[in-house]
Amino acid sequence: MPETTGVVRCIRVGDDFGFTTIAEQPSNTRETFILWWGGVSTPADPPVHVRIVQSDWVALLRQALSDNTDVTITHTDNSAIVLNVQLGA
Amino acid sequence: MNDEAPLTDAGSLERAARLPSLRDFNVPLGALVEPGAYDLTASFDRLSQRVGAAPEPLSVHFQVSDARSWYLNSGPTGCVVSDQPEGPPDVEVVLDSDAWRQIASGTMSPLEVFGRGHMRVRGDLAAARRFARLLHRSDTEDRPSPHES
Repeated sequence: MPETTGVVRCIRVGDDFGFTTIAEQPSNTRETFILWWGGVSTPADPPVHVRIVQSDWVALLRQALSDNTDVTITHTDNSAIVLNVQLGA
Repeated sequence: MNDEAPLTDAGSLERAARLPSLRDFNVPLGALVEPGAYDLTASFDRLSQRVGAAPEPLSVHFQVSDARSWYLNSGPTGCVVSDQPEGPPDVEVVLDSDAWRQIASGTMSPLEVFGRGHMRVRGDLAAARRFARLLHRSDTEDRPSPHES
C-alpha cells in the first residue's frame, strides 16, 4: 500500500469534505489528499465510528501542523483518498 | 470504473468545486478522443494541441500507471508532448488508462475523477490551475462564434 510522508501544509474542512495538503519529504513535492468527501469519495452519511476516525485524523494533522512533525498518509495506488494517518515517523 | 453508479450526491461535488483552488478542474475537457477510442498517444497529442502556447513555461507529467508516461511542455512558442522529461515537471498527474479515458472522452471532469479516487495530483497546484485554464481558453476558441453559421 503506498505511503506518503511529509509535513502538513494545510487542512481544509467544509460542509461535507475534508482535505489536507502534504509536502512530501525530502522532495518537498506537494500533494492534496482527501480525508473525506461525502457523496463523492466516501459515503454521504457514514456511520458514527467513521466520523470519529475522521475527527481523529484532523486532530493528528492539526498537531503535526502546529508542531511541524512529519505525518505518513496511507492511500491506494492512483488514489488521493486517505486510508489512515500516522503522526510521527 | 466504467460501471460506477452515478454520484449519490452531485451537490457535494459542486459545493467543493466552488473553492477557488478546485473550480478550474470541474469542467470536462471536451472530447479529445471518440468514446471507446483507445489510442492514448493520440489523446495526448490532441491535448497538447489544445493547450497550445503559454506565456510562462509549464510542464505536466502524465503518468498512466498501466501504460507509460507523457510529458507536456508548454511555453511561448507552443506545447510539445514527448516521452522524456525536459526537467522536473511543475505538476505530476498519476492515474490509470481507464481514468484517463474518462477525462479524455469528456465523460468526467478531472475533479470528479480525482474525487472518486482514480487520480493523484502532485506538485504545484497553481501550475495545475494554469494548465486547466489554458484548456478552457482553447475550449472557448474551439467554439463557433454566434456569428458563424
